[in-house]
Amino acid sequence: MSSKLRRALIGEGSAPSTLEGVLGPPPVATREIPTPEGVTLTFEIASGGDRASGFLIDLVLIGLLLLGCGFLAPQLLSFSSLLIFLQLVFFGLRCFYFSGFELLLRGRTPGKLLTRTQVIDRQGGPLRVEAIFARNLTREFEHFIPFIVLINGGAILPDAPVWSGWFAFVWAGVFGLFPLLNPERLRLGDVLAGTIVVKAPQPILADDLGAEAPTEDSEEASGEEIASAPRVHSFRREQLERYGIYELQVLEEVLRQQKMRRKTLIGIRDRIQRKIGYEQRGGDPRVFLEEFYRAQRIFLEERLLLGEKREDKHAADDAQPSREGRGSTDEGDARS
Amino acid sequence: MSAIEPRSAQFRREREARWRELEVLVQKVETRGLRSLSAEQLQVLPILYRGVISSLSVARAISLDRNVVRYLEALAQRAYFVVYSPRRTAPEVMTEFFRRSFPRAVREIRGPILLAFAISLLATLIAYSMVRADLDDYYLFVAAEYAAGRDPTASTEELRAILMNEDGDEHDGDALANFAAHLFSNNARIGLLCYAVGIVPVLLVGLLLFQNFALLGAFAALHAERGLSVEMWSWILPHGVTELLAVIVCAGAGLTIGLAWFFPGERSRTRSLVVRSRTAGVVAMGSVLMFLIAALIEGFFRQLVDDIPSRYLLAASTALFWSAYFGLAGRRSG
Repeated sequence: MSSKLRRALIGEGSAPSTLEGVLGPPPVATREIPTPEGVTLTFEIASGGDRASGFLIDLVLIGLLLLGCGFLAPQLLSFSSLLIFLQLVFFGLRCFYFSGFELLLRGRTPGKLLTRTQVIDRQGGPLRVEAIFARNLTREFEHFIPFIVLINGGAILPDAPVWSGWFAFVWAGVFGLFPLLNPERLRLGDVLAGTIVVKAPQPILADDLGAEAPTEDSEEASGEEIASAPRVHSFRREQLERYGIYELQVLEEVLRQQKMRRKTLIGIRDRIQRKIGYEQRGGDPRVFLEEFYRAQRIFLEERLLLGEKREDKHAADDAQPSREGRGSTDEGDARS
Repeated sequence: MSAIEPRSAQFRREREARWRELEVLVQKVETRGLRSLSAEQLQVLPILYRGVISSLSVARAISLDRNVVRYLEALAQRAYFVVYSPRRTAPEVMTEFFRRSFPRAVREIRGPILLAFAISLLATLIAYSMVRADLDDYYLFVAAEYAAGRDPTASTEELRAILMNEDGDEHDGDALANFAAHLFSNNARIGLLCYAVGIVPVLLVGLLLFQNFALLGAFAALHAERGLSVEMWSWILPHGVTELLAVIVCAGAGLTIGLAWFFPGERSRTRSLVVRSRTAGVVAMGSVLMFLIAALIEGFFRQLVDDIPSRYLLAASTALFWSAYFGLAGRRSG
């Protein structure tokens, strides 16, 4: 999201020209799980890319473990036993690596830790041991058997025909791509075990942009100025009625970007000032935007308390219908 | 404009300390386990969790600060798992698995397991009688490379030598090699394959199982033909009880999944699959361990015992053990 945002605002390449086109929350697949307390928690479903990279990391790790055993073993074993020993280690890893880690790390393997994903019960219950076994034993069927057949068809069934390699390839492909064919990115093992892989929640609480105290988000240059100075800008009611919640939160994202260029901020400032018909043009862009954000949020939250939820600038407004159509709102370019 | 700052900012200031407190506790549990918490911390954890849940629902209604709502959502999610997850350590999980889950799961799916057993028995008998009738049918059931010299062209003496450890085996005395060779032998492979393919076509399980046990039947017939039945079963049974049982149990697990799809009963089809495959997963995981045990017997024990009575004694005691285990273990609740 943030790279997209920056690209759009700073204007690299063929970024879309409107702020809204780029900054909107990306359509994220979610799974809603009701808690016994009656509040629904919304989990973000791990993407296919996360799943694949997590799995690859785990496979590499299994490979490294095997290699490690191979290097450690020669002192203890003869060469012929070494191969047998490695086969045994591989068998053990194949059966217990995923299940073991998911048991110990609450639904996570090293690969999942690195991709910040996690297995949970699809219904929101506790992740049971049975579910972990069921979802991981099917890997045998989904990945390992076709993989082994691909390498050596005779290993599974003697007299495997030559085309068994192709068959295994298609087989692995079908089950490998299975998660991409359903919106919840369920692997066959997830379907059977009743589990789902979600993004592991990362609670990060940033400073409140709307709070009275100056925030660290301010640029160093002007930080002290704001702290001492009283409010520079004031807004009238009709000026605050132009935007809705959506625009407010886009502005929040912009202000939270630490490395936003001054030029970009000036562009956004000018655009907002033009749109709301602000009399005193100019001023420090960050100070203006922060104060506008605060005033806008106070205003919208009060409206919210009264039961008026204005989703975005296009929302019909009883008190004062929006006088600008969609076309004219797009005129201001973030790249100015 | 009356307010100096947004209401949500005030809301946040009043509660933030509690949120942070929960965040610290959750972090601690996630990295060092529930046992790292003191008694007071344990007591306060659910209270803080409920506080955050209620903050979340208020914040969703009144706050337009997206960062706060996201933070609360993520914190509530993490705390939810900490509060509602079973609090067990790895050894507890293992003990529970062997003492209750595994035998219970096996009893739970005894229908499909019996079905698998029936298929196996039928296959063995059919192959046995066919090979007894015409020795050339042996090749129908046994692939040449698997037979490894144990086919109708071998002399009775050669067959006896293999059974009684008298041949110059290349892995002679190497228990590890025997163990491994056995683990990767036909049966363990067929067993896991049966579990795996049960997921898609039930019929394939039957077919695989049939093929595997037909092999046993043909093998038995060949030895019976030469009057080596007693020796042969003494060779097979010590590890075979465990191993063939594991194959059947595995196939039963596979059948369970297939049948759950075709006959979901009162549940929805997906739910039926979920419920049954969890049970089947436990059974399959358990039978992996049974294969390990069978390989241990084969690799380390059976090679040491040459006389027929003690081999039968070993076979009988494993049979007794497994029937007691699956019949009795984990019956009591609690």
